[in-house]
Amino acid sequence: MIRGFASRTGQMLLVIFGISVLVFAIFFATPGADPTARIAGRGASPQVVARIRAEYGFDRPLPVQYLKMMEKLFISRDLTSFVNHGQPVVPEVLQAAPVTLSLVLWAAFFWVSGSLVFGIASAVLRDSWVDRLLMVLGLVGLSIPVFWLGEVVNLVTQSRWHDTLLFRWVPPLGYVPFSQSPFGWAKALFLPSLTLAVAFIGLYARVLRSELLTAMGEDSIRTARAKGAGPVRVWLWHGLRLSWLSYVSLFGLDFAQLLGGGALLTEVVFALPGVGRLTYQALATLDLPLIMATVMYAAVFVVVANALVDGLYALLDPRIREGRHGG
Amino acid sequence: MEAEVLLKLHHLHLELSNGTALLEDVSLNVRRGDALGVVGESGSGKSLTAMSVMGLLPGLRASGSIRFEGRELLGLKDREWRRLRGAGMAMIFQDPMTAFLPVRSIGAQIDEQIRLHERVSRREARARTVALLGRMGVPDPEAAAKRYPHQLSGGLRQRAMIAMALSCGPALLIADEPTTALDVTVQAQILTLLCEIRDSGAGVMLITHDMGVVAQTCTHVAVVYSGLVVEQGPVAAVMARPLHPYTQALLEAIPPLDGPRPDALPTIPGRPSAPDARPEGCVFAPRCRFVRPDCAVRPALREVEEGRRVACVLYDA
Amino acid sequence: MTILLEAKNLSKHYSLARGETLRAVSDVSLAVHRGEALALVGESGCGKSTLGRTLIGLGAPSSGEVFFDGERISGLSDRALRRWRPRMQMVFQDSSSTFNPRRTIGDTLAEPMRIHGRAGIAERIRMLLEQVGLSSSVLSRYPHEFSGGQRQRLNIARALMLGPDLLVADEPTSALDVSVQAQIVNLLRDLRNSLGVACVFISHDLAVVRQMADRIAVMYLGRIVEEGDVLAVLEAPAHPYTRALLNAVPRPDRPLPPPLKGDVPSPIHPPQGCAFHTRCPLAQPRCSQERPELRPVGEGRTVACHYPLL
Ligand SMILES: Nc1ncnc2c1ncn2[C@@H]1O[C@H](COP(=O)(O)OP(=O)(O)OP(=O)(O)O)[C@@H](O)[C@H]1O
Ligand SMILES: Nc1ncnc2c1ncn2[C@@H]1O[C@H](COP(=O)(O)OP(=O)(O)O)[C@@H](O)[C@H]1O
Ligand code: SF4
Ligand code: SF4
Ligand SMILES: [Mg+2]
Ligand SMILES: [Mg+2]
Repeated sequence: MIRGFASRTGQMLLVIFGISVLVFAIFFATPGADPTARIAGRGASPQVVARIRAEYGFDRPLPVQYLKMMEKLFISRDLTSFVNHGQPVVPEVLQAAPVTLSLVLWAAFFWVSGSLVFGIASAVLRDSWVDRLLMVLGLVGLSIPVFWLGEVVNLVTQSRWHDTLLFRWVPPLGYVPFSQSPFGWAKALFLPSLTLAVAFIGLYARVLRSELLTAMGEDSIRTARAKGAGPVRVWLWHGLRLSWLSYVSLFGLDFAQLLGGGALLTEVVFALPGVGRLTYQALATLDLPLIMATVMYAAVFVVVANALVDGLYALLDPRIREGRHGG
Repeated sequence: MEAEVLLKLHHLHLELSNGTALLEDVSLNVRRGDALGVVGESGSGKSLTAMSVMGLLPGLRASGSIRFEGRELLGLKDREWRRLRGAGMAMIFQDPMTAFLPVRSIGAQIDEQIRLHERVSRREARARTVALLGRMGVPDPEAAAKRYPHQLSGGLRQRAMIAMALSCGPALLIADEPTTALDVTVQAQILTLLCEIRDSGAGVMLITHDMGVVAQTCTHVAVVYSGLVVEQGPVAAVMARPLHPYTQALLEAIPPLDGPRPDALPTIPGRPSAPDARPEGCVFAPRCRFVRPDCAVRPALREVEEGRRVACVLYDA
Repeated sequence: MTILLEAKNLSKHYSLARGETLRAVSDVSLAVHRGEALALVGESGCGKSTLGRTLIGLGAPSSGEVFFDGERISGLSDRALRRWRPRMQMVFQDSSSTFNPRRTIGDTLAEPMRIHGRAGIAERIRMLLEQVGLSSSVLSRYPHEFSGGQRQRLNIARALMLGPDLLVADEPTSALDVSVQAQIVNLLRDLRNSLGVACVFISHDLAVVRQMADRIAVMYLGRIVEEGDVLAVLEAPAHPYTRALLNAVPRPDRPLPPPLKGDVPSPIHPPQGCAFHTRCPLAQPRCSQERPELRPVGEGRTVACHYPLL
């Protein structure tokens, strides 16, 4: 158990290290581009450029540059953005993280409950018109671009019908921290997270439906019915038990990539100051330190989430548990 | 006599929605304390027969009659059938590895069955589970109940499966090839267990393609060919003197374990006809060495001797 | 009779995760003569298939040697083995997986000869199909259009295409019904008689083995525990395990003798001494300490037991 955990942690650190080297190489060690000039931004004074060069060690060998960068990112956490008037980037990312986390948690709530309802309904009613309708809706949800949907939602709820009874409660675009007003927090996130969830509901419902139908053909389901279990029990208890492995792994990866900035478009459209929007701004202004910080932040999330999913997997399936830890 | 019949299938007919008959005419009886072996080649309809008794074939149209403890099952509401399933009649399957849910301990799965049919606490259910496992010869039943299916050997898994089937004291136990996935020495253990269950008074329906297994465990045998029962009778009599040409051929095809070694084993030419291409007359006619003109009318399953029934024109008076 | 295939102290171990070793085959020595049929029997997991594969060079042995026609074939590179492949062929239990579902039977049958650059393919296919009892109209059809028995016939025909001296058949009838099994058993016997091909026949069905084989080798946990003429061994087994296997076969003429207790132990941690002592009704204290070596009992028979039944 402990050995497995240790080796797992080691693997994670290794992956994160690999990603950091890769990102560093792409942004700072590409030949032909002077990172100093790019960090400093256009039109920076020679003094600033010289200071940056000294501070980041750009006049020293690459490994030293890399170490300097990592030190600034993780240890002294004083990596600063020059494009953005000397703003330290690490606090900026840490400030944005709760926003993204809130958004993604809400979205996950919607997409899990939505896809469970739709997926189970269309599996149980397979080949009926309900099933077909749900699956077509799912496909539509899957293919609507999220920024377009977001714009439409904004158009409808913020301006066109904002004064109707239905949408009067919709707050102006932006974020309200939970600590400030829990209710306001929920209101501010309701529509953005629902918008974000739409595509996932479609995808996850389809996955769940097909997994459930495969599971229903298993011998153990036949046994459950032979035991005298009713349909509700067979579908929800036995069927789900068999089919949620791939659902869970899919969920873990999507959840992680959204936390890492994958909700970029939603955040931009709804003006939520989250990690995605930060990344978007950094890319728009070519703010290298900020890019470095957000990408590393995303990488850490994806890797950690991956490990969590694996752990959850082992919890859900004793066969996997054994394969890893012996017994 | 009739009173002790536990299960009586009478002209059971099962067809797909497109009209193809999967079971053409299955008639058989299981009495308390009897073990009926159902034998036949792959695809002959053995499993379908078992599944229809359990009412586990929605989507297929069944007609005829299935009487269990004097009560007609065909046309029963699913809710009522469900009450019977697992309690009045129980079933075990060929592959105990896949028949259990892989992600829950076998104890939990047996508890579940008990609690589905009886109002008992978790604690009581577990106590019964452990006692049952012990009775089925599982060593250290308390620990075994906490294990997952893949952590047990094939033989122990099948014992656990049988324990689960017996957990609510069913009057009828249906076993669909319970030993096909097991080694011979383990098969012998399970067959011994089935004999004990039969002797304790339950009715057993044992589906297999192995005549030896039938001979060893059953009191009666029904031979199924292409969706029809073609012969039924007491095991000893049928083994000693099979009446139907198909039964004869089936028994001859088994290589002997002692005595002289034949140069060539007798075989049955051809293969069973598919459900959608059964001959008009006797279904075995295309492969029968005694075929004659009047075989073109399908012979009914008739009693030709005390307790022995056969569907073949050779025994028409 | 000359020896065609000989294995000397052959072992095959698999390394598992967590640094454990699974001893699938341990220290097996055996010989197959020209035209002879040797049966390997035992319960699942005892190493029959592994031994069969190792014998014909599918997978290198962990130790020990294999000689084919007097030449050492163990330790040869895949390239060097290619020369021997046509002379050793394998037939598997699951005949459906040997055929590519998207290729016609004709294609699949012709392939081995094409690979080895032989001529007269069409002629040979026609002859072999006749021998396995199928008409040449099957050539343009696809695998799923055949029954299990027919597929197994085609499988045998495929294995015979290159005119091998040795056929390793791994449970060739286990997936078949008795009536079809009888056909395949007869076919294999006929082919042996007419072509003189030697056969290593892997099975767990003693009745089929008795019908098919000349000699029998009984395996338990990766070792041969008894070997000898098939009729003699099954008539009067010398090893308690052989007797238990024989007793466990359900038969009409007698009630089941008390079965062996327990299951086969794991080949990862085989018992000390005689591997069978955990289940043996005749076990003595000595059995758990000292492993019995194979030694002769009677004519042409060997047994590994301290207290043999003969
Ligand atoms: N749901 C189904 N839809 C269509 N055909 C079916 C269905 N279930 C079974 N069949 C067909 O019905 C016939 C009898 O099937 P069944 O499973 O009862 O055979 P069996 O005697 O149990 O054979 P085996 O020994 O291989 O288990 C076969 O031809 C099979 O292909
Ligand atoms: N590639 C492999 N890797 C690890 N273990 C294997 C492998 N192949 C076979 N084994 C193990 O070796 C033992 C013997 O296997 P096998 O030769 O297939 O047995 P048999 O054919 O007698 O049933 C079994 O315990 C099996 O699980
Ligand atoms: S009825 Fe005719 S064809 Fe059918 S089994 Fe009897 S003799 Fe053979
Ligand atoms: S050596 Fe001992 S334990 Fe092994 S088979 Fe012989 S008597 Fe049994
Ligand atoms: Mg079946
Ligand atoms: Mg094998």
